[in-house]
Amino acid sequence: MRYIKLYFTCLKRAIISRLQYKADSIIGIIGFLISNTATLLSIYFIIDAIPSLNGWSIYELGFLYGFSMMPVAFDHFFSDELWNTAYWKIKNGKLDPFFLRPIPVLFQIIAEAVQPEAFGELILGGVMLGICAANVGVKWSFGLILLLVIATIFGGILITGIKIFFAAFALKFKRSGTLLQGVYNMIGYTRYPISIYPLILRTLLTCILPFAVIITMPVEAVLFSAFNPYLLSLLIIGVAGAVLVLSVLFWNWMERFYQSTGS
Amino acid sequence: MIEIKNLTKIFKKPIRKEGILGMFATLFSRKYEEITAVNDISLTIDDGEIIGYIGANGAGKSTTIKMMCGILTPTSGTVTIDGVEPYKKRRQVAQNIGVVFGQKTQLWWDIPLIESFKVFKEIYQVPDKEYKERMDFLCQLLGINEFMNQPVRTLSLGQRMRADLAAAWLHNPKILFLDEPTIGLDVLVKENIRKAIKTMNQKYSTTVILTTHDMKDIENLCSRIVMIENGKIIYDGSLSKIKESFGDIRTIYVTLNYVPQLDKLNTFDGKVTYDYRDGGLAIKFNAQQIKVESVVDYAFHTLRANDFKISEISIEDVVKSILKKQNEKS
Amino acid sequence: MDLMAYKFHMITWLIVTAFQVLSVFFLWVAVYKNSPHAVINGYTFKEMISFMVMINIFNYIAFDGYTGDVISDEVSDGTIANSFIKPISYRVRFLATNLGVLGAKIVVFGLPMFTISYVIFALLGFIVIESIGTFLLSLLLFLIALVLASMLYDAISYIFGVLSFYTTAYFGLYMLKETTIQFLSGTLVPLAFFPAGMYKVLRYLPFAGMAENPVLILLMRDSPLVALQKIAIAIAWLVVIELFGALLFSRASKKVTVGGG
Repeated sequence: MRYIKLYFTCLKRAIISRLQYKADSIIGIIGFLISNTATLLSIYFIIDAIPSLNGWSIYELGFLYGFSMMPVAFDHFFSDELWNTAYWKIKNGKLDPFFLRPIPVLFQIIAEAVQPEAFGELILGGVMLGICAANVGVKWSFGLILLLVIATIFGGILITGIKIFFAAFALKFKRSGTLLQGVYNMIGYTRYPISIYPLILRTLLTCILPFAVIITMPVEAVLFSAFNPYLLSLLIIGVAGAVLVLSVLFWNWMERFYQSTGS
Repeated sequence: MIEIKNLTKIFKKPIRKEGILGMFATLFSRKYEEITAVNDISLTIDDGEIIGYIGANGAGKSTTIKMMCGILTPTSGTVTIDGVEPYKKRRQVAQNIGVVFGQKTQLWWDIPLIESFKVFKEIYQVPDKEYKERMDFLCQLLGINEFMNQPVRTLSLGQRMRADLAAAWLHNPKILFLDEPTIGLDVLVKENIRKAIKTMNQKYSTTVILTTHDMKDIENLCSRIVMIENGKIIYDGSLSKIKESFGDIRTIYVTLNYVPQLDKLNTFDGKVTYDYRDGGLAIKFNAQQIKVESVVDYAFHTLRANDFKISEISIEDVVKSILKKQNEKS
Repeated sequence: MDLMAYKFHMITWLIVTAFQVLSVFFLWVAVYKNSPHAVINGYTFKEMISFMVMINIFNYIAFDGYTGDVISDEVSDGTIANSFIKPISYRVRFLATNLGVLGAKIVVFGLPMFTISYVIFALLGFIVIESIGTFLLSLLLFLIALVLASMLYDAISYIFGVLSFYTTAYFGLYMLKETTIQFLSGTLVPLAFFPAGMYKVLRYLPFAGMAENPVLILLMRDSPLVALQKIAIAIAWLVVIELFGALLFSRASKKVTVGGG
């Protein structure tokens, strides 16, 4: 309870901070829109040259791409400060004050910043999802909508968990930005049908960095009725929860290795 | 009470070669050099003391303080604050300490100052009544009211330092670490900050550990000074004792219209020494052996000095003379 | 940073880069498998793979975000005021650093990575060397195009850095810069895949000279004459962009407000 109140106090502060840079926020939203449009257009240009990609039509691919943005946006809004932590904060000694306060360091990092740009992604993803679903002729049901909502929220939590896990390496090694970036970029793998990858990569994306579970599988459930939406929802909640718990434990363990700089 | 026992910190650094080619070479080498930043120091600090922790840059001050705050782990030896080792139980100790690192601010850069205080209130769970009381007191003491609603990035260095001090006191810590709190500030702000530190120390008997390069800070505040050089404590005691043993050395700098003949000047029985350089004369003497007025009088009337500056011994001088004395002993 | 930390960084960097290229590789494998034609928009499978690998290496060598990052850092912490006092021109300072980094990157990463990839592709028959003369000439022209590409990137990076005088924050600008360059320089997908109308325009914009053109020169898809034309266009753009940057800087520097005192 105390931490919920504390989180909202920090959230308020983070929003006030962010509002100081309205111009940058707007440019950031435009940047994300352009970034996603560019990637999407690239896919379009490529697929346009062939009849279909392993059986996926252009609209089905658009649906996949659109949905992949949703959990990403959810994570993006809440845990953006992990990037700073992994790249610069520890190296520049800016994490020291966090260790001098009587509340968990990870909590302070998560509460340090919010990223309103995420709404840009959420809206763009939603719009694409809608357009492509209409063109594909998806037969919506309560279960499928629930599945997509669960996959967005718990998918976001899973991404946050994985970010925490790899940002934690910076506690010992001062920087883990490149590693985090590399792992995070694996989300990009799920923008294409998973069948284009060899078995080892498919296993990696389902079992080790389970981005396929939160993105590919729900989309296959909606487009091809490949999975039962309720069972899949439960699976996603379970996997996301497990990843988050594991990551927080790992972070706390790595905190013991944290050392400030000498000077 | 803070107890430091045989505290040692050794940093290991890879021996690096320059450039990107060197980066690759370093990748495959196992060589590193060891730098002993703090070398087997022991120290006990009682509640309510104000300690001046001094030494040249790189002498090991920051490293010691960081171990005391718990953000560095000793290579060997221990620090305990009321029986707890801070680097083992950081969160527990954090509630009882306040930290101000002169060059870095704890405050959020881009929001009005008051918002930072509100967040600290929640973080340290300061009750409403206590918060209001302490804020009123700190506002009055440090005069931070006038810029309470300004974003921190628009504050001057002096304003920011006062705000940082107030933030560190908000939760009434038992121990306060101040790393160069007066660096780069003008005289009036320095005075204000010293007064505040003294008042808080008396009112709440806060233990203060202070590093500084300013002799005035030490004279006005510290009952005890601890001096560190090359990671070792070279002096631990009162300031007056230092002055006794090393003398209250003053230097008067004067400019003259002529070139003086040094051997003809009055040395007051060898108690005064002269040095002439670049059109200025430095007159050095021990204020405990000879009155300042008589030297000043001599400089003005007999030497007809037309400009005048007096300086007291600096921390660097004290460190140097202590080192020199130690070397002579050994 | 201790030795362990150092090794950790180098190893993660290598793995991460490999994985990035890998996803693109599998996409193209699937695309060509699904295609009824062996040649798509002028690229065979072998040409496409060599193009994608080379352009990813190229990106790493030629693009260094240092300039924009440092300017925006200096703006946000106020140290930019000190930089104005220094005798060396603000622009020259970054240009010199960038060229230094480029030189080091070419020697340490570019040379081995390009050589290894080139030899492998040549052995696999992905790249066909018709005559040693053309090969050496292409190599020379490629080097020139590489330096120009890096300078173009730096000039644009500088402009975006200076724009942070107005926004006081850089993240949004950085996103915008990276995306635009990646997309329009042919890094994400070769420009030949763009619709015909866009392709005609894009060939003459500075972005093409920042990645696709140099790589096409290296892969000897262009005759030396065409390559020279492309280099000339890149030089012209470089002049225009630098002039624009200087103009922008002289305006923006009046805008700088420094916090504190």
